[in-house]
Amino acid sequence: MTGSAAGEERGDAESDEAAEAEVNEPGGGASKRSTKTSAKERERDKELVALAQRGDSNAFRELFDRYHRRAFAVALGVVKNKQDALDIVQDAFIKVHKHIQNFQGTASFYTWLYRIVMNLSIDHVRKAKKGRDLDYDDKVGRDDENVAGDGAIVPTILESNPKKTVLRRELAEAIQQALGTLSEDHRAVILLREVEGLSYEEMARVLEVPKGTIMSRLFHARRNMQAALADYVQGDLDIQS
Amino acid sequence: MSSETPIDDDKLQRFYDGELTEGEAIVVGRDVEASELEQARIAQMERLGEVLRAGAEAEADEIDPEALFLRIERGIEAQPSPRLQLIEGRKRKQRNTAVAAVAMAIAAAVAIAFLAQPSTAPETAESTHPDEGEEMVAEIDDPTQVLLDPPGGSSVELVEFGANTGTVFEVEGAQGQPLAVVWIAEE
Repeated sequence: MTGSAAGEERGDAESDEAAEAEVNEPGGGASKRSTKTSAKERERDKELVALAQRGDSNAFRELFDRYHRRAFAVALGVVKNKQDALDIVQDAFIKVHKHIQNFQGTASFYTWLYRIVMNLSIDHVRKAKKGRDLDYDDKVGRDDENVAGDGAIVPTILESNPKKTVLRRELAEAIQQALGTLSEDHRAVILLREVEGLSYEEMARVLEVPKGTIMSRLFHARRNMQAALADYVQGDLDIQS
Repeated sequence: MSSETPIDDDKLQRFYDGELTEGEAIVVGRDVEASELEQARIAQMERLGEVLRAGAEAEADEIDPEALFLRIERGIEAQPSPRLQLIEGRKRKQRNTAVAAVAMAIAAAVAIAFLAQPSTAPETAESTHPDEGEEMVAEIDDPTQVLLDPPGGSSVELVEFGANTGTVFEVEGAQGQPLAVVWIAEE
């Protein structure tokens, strides 16, 4: 277990309760999405967490189904490698399962999960920078995942519509390239805001920085991403294809 | 607000993100309505958000959730399941190998306090005081594993692992007696 994730699991469920109480109720504004996780969804999360704490494996599976895609998007945005991102999502849910007994049901589950994902992702990036992120077992694991079988998380056959596949792939690659120009801190904040819809307060708790830092990082990340993705942001390309 | 005076970046961003107070949002909203420039700035932020979400969806579509969940289940099964308690220390700087392991093991042994309550001891307030009760001292053969045989009625009050993590297990000894095992994992 990484120390940062352990720290997350220790007592942050309680502190998240305050964050949840302060989940932004926007006073107007242009954004159509203040937060992607509605009150109804949070209520369902609480139910699922309570069931999972009593050992209900179906509830744990539903939590996975609700959040694994978004967790993957966050992890991928930070680590920029699909297999690494999948490993992080895997580790994050294992940690969730292991420590869910310590999680307070009144807290926001997704904030807790994202914090674990983010800590694992940032740890991964830092280790990679030091050039000691891969050990022998990791390499074996990756080799296994590249072949067919239950280790293949990313299918090699995508969609039946080749044009759609190509356009989506191009968009995804352009985004990853653009994200690559940002620092990991800036990547994290723009993904948590734009993809996950977290409020400034929630992001501040997930990333453990002041709200002012969140605002500053978000501003610079947006400006750089708008420049890097100018063809998509200013053009008429059909991103939904 | 004059149309020549753009809304400052910070305020416009907070407006877009729904992070202004209701009163502020009304004022900024009016300014945005009155300015094509501000509307264009807002539209760019909206478009960027759409692009990023579309990209994230495209990436996530490639996940095989069943295979991923299977890996998670295997990972869960591979996890040790401590019977008593998991106590984690705060993350600090990683220290170097054996020296740290020995130091932490000694620290753990010293910090373990038993509230000794021998069954034969009179049940008075004074006799249950730790200073007057039976005190256990751990013998450390393996610096990463401290085996303790607590006397009947005693309990582990505190285990300090410092920068490391550790787990307290209860296991059955050779004579069927309960043993507390303190496992220290060097990080």
